[in-house]
Amino acid sequence: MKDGSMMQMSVGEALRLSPDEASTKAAGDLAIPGKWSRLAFDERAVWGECQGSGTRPYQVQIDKSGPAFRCSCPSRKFPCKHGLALLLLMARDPAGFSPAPAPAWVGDWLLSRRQRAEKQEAKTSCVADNDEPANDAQASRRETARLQRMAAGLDELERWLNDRVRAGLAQLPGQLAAWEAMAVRMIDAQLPGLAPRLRRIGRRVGKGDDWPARVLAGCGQLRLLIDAFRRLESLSEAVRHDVRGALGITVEREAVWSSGERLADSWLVIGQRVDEDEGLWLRRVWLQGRQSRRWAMLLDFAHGARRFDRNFTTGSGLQAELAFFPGNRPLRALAPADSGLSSEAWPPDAGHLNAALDALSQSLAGNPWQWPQPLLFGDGVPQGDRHGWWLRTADACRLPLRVRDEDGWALLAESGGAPLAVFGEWDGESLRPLSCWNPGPVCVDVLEAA
Amino acid sequence: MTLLHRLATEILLGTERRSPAMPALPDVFDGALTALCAAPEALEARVLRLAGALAVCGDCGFRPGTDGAAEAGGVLARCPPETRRPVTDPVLLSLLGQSLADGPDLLRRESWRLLADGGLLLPPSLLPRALSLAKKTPSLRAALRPVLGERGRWLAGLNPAWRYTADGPASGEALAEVDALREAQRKNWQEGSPEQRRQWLAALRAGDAGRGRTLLQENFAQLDARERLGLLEQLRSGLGPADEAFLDSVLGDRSKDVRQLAGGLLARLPGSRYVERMCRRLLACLRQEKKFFRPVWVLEPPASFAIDWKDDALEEKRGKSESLGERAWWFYQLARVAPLAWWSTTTGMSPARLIEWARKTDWSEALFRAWGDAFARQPDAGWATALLAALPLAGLSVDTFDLLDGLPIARREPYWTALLEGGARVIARGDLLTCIVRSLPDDVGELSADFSRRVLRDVRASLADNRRRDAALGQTLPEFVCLLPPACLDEASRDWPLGQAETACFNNTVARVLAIVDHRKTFHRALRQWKPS
Repeated sequence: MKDGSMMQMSVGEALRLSPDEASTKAAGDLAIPGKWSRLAFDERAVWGECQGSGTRPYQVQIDKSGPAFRCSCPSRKFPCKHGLALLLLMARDPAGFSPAPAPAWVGDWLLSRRQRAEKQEAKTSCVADNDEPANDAQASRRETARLQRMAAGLDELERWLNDRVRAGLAQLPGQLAAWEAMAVRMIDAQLPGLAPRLRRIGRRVGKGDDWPARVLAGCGQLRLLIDAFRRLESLSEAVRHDVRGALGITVEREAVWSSGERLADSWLVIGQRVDEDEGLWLRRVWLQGRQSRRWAMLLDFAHGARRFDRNFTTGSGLQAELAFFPGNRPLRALAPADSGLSSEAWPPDAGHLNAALDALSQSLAGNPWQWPQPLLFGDGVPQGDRHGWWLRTADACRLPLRVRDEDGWALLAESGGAPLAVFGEWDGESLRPLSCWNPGPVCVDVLEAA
Repeated sequence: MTLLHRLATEILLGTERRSPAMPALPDVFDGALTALCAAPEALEARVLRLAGALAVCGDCGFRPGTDGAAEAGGVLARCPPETRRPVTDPVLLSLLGQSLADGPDLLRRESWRLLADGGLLLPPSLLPRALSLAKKTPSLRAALRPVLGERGRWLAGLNPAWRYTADGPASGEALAEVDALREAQRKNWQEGSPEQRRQWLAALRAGDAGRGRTLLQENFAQLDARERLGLLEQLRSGLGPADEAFLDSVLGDRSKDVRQLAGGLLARLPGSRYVERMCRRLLACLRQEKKFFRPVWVLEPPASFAIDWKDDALEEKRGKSESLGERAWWFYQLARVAPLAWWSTTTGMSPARLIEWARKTDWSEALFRAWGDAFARQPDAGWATALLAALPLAGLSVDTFDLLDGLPIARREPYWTALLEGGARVIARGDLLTCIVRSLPDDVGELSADFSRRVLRDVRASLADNRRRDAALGQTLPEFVCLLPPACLDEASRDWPLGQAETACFNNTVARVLAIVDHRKTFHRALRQWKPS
């Protein structure tokens, strides 16, 4: 999108960047040319000044390469209503913007963004080049200490799990606090990846008739992780990364950039989901390679406010060389900051459910710790009753959906009773739809309180 | 039952109390599963390891359940193909979505009307929200129906809450559901609270007026006075000549309020024997005399209260706060039942001349009150014009907006203008605009450009002159701008006092107004420009 023209973004695409409905509404009220002055653009950015409640207008700007936003208002939302309104104005009436040289406040910001990106790049190459022995020794000492703490934590977890089995599953209901306490112990033992797993299993206790089997399954998988950690050295490097990842040891982004698998392709932004848990925002953006057919997941975190460095629009294309985190079935990836989104996308190639489930089997066999898994198929008809929603295939298979009732109706409306291409996150029991394609993209739900 | 379920059942009580029987494992993965259970380790570790392995196998080999024989028949019928196009233009889509989310209703109705005029339909993605909204807001339904298309009707047929859209004969399933609902409500009638009974009767009257009346008639004697009154009120919906006999019987009810309500309902049936009787009595109060060789009508209210009047729910004694005298009170009770047309037919005078005549009698208050009542029952454009021209009229029981309801929209504007110019001292602008917006029927299009400009000028001036806070204006102005004709939209987006400290309290209103005006402009433009491929 780095050209002298305006950004080609539709109103729908612009609104999909909105952090919540209140922002959408507020931006709608602000997207009136009369409230703006100095609406202009150059080859890198679009900007304008919006009259707010104060005496000085807010300076609002968008870096076209992101799109990334910046506004002088105090809002903690991202993008704020002004940024969103500027995007809306542009989508509705590009003629209202004139080409102009960037004023200082725009130039400064772009410069700082560029410098930050360069610094990041320098840091990346630094990691690749500077393999100093002193650093190595320090890192190795740190690693040994951490592994010891982790081993002790896993010993404790083993004892705890054995005690549960010894006392019997029937004793578990009403002990939610014990799972939480154990989760906290695991974080202390530098095993943060186990905390959400423990909490999830704890929440399953007593829910539905088959909860003992589901809880036992969860505990059993924790046991497998303990086993895997104890024989980490005997595992292949790729599997080692998966186990470490499941326990919560992440690979530094710089290392991914320097040594991760690279794959250049046209990637389709096929769905995204944002969750919030006690002020920590987590976003998964799902991509599918056009030529490679590979899945990729961009995972980002934000603290305090829903503020991510980059915004993605479901249904847009991303021409980029991704860097994958190491693993047996690499899925998590990084996208270069300067890769541009294009609205010229293509509908995903959604096949039969059986083929999608076969691919899912392969994926889980490669890395059983990765949840959720991407699932896309095109032969399901949405159906629902008072118990819930599901996708029904021609051979009468029912794939349960985890969806709000209104979203179930929206899927049904899109389908008209015909098979619909649906993409979503599979959690082992149900599919949480994130988008459907008819043939263009329709987002199902981006944000639902965690 | 899966292996995992079997294993879980085995350790429900705990290995401490009962040693679990490990399930027999299939010979897959070269006996790897069996080897897991045989490792020389604590029993608990082996159980957990096996459970973990089974869980991973289960995840990897997941196959969804299939419809049983019972559900196999429940396959959805596909939606028939559309004959018109749903909107696909992104700008129109986003504006439609925005108005659905934020309103106001007038904006929603306009958007849908414009789509229907252009032969377009709502896109499938917005149908569920629109259907749910119109379920809550019945006034949106008429505008929604033409833009639902086959997809919307198909969808509505699948959701009992959206059945209100059905304008054709209901499907067998839908009828069965209605019957089930009725059965539940019939129970409510027998065992429910008075309020539940009232709701049931209202629903029944709306669907089958005759059944509703019969039900009420059968149970009427057993109800107490308050409930008789509340339930009788429900006959107002679907009232027709078939109700006359029952209402006649209620004229002799023990409760005064119930009797009077029955009389009021009978008055709504112009051909009823009750109205005939009253008109006959009324006629006896009128006579023609020659005055200066010209015949004039003379009104002579009854000198005494006839004994049989009581049978028609007339009251001999006045209320303590009644301003009419005794004879006027008796006369008023007769006169309020007569349809307005009766006066013109009987006397040969036009509404304007009748008003003039009434003014000169000693009984004008009783007459105006009676005519007001009759007008409220049956609005009439001729009478509305005459009464509006003669305002103020002491005793008239309807207000200006009630009278305006009797006129076509275009003929109401001069009166609104007059109220805006002269009456603004009496009625605040916000209240006036609220009354205008509320008084318009659901299918009204736009106001005239002249009137719109007049209001815009006036409201801007009113905002600038901020001595009086007009909260109603803040509420109603955003709705009002939905009624402006497209020719006035450019003007409506200019010259608002924005960003000034004195009018800060109106900033939100003005912002909303500007957003709606911009929304409408963009919608009109996008609809004109969109060429479906």
